[in-house]
Amino acid sequence: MASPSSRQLRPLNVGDVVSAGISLVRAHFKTYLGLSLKAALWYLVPVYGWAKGLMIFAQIGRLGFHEVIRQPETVALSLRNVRPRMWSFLGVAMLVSLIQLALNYAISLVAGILLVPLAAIGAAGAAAGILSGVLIVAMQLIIFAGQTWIQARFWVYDMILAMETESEPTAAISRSWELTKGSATRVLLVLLVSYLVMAPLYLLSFVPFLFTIPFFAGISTDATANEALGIALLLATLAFFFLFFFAVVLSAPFFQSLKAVLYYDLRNRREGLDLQFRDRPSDSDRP
Amino acid sequence: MNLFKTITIRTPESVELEFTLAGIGNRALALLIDYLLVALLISLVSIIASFLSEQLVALWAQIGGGTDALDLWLVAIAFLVTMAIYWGYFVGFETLWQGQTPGKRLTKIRVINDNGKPAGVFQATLRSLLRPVDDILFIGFFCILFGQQEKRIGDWLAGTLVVQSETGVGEATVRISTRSQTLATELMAQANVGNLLPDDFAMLRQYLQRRQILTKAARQNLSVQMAQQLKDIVELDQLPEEELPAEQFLEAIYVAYQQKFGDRRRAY
Repeated sequence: MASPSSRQLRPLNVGDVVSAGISLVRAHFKTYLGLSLKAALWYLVPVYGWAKGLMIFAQIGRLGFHEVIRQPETVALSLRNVRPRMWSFLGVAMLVSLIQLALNYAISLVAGILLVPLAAIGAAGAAAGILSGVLIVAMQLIIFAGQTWIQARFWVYDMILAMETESEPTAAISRSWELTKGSATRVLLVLLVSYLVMAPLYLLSFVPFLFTIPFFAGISTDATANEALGIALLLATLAFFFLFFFAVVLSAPFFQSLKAVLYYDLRNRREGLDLQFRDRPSDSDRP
Repeated sequence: MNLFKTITIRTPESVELEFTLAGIGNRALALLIDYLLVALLISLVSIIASFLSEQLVALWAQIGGGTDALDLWLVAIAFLVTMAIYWGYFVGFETLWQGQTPGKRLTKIRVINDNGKPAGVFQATLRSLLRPVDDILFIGFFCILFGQQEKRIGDWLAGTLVVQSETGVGEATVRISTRSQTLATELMAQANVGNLLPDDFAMLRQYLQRRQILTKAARQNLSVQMAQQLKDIVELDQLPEEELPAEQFLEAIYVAYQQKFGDRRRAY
């Protein structure tokens, strides 16, 4: 049985999405990094810059998707396609955050009401105390799972905004929900693995604070030590922002490429993008 | 551009086998799952062991022996057992499950020899012994990421590859309605089912296996589109019945082809 791999990709599993995202970044590292740097710099400008930055990040995703379907787009062309919706990126991002906030709040509220009787069990005795402790921890885990599950369901909305430019911007939210239906666990695992891969980069930006530890030694004794600590903390904070900025610039292309592959895979599963009969050879080619 | 690396192995019988390499994502996820399981196993054993050793020390003290030397022995044994679990887990599973550990099985990858044969105890042991070395400073991670054959140090020394095992999405078997079965016999007489290429048949099967996952609209569009294309391919002038649902037609073609040629036919 000949595999159709030469044409379109079959549905991918979690690890495949991450691997494909990484190969995508490696193949176009310079282009994506340049765009990412531009987006991150725009972020420093309030409101207008946020919209522009979000748009450029989504543009990276669009470029990635076109690579995956083997119909590459130039940077200029993709910009022309996403630019008309620049403000939608900011608007929908705010809308999605509001929805997530509301849903998370609702989950915490319901869970909070349920936690009261669980905590009350603990008063009955030592054994009951352990039981109530275990139940409370389990409850917290359920809350966390629920909240990340919701995040996963909304995760590809900016890809939809960048790709499906014909439809209403707000429709991207419900479409993200529809596309991730039945795939939430897979999206969650992709998120988890990608965070794990990128974690060292972000942890690195906290390193400057380690250098302030010696300054804590003499704070109560004299005033100059306090001053030195203040300066050290200030410098560490500056260094932190600087490193954090670069962590964002470096990791954003990776996350956007991942999103591009994931968006492709979700559409593939839900809409069967790869289910096409091969072009027939013309009659003269036939043996 | 190719998002996944492939490798072609030539067997001594001059048969060429193509494998898709496992990829860093699958391997990282598999390792994560395996390490979680190993950690779980070790903590379980250590809980039981601590209960046992407490009893043992108490017993020893009653008999009248010094407990210092005994404690040292117990620590040494605990260390050995931990190592045995860590290495035994990987060697055992990779040997018994033909190159797969629970993590690899879940991520659908397996270890094979460089020559395409299943990896044995020797390879599994070497890979497992070098695993801690590969974990230092993510050496193995970078070797897999940047190497052409995605080999970590353990893979180089043992002469192994980690490849994807066959994957499928959707239902394992294609469900066919009884009406389509009867329709298939009619089609075999009326249409040139033989015009269908093995590739087309594979694609048809893909659709029938995956249709449950598709959205309603996509399923509707795809089935109609595929049915129209198929109608042209098999040179059928007229559908056997008017108002025939597209999916039933697809199922019928599938059955007709299968009855005529079996599941596989050589490509020409």
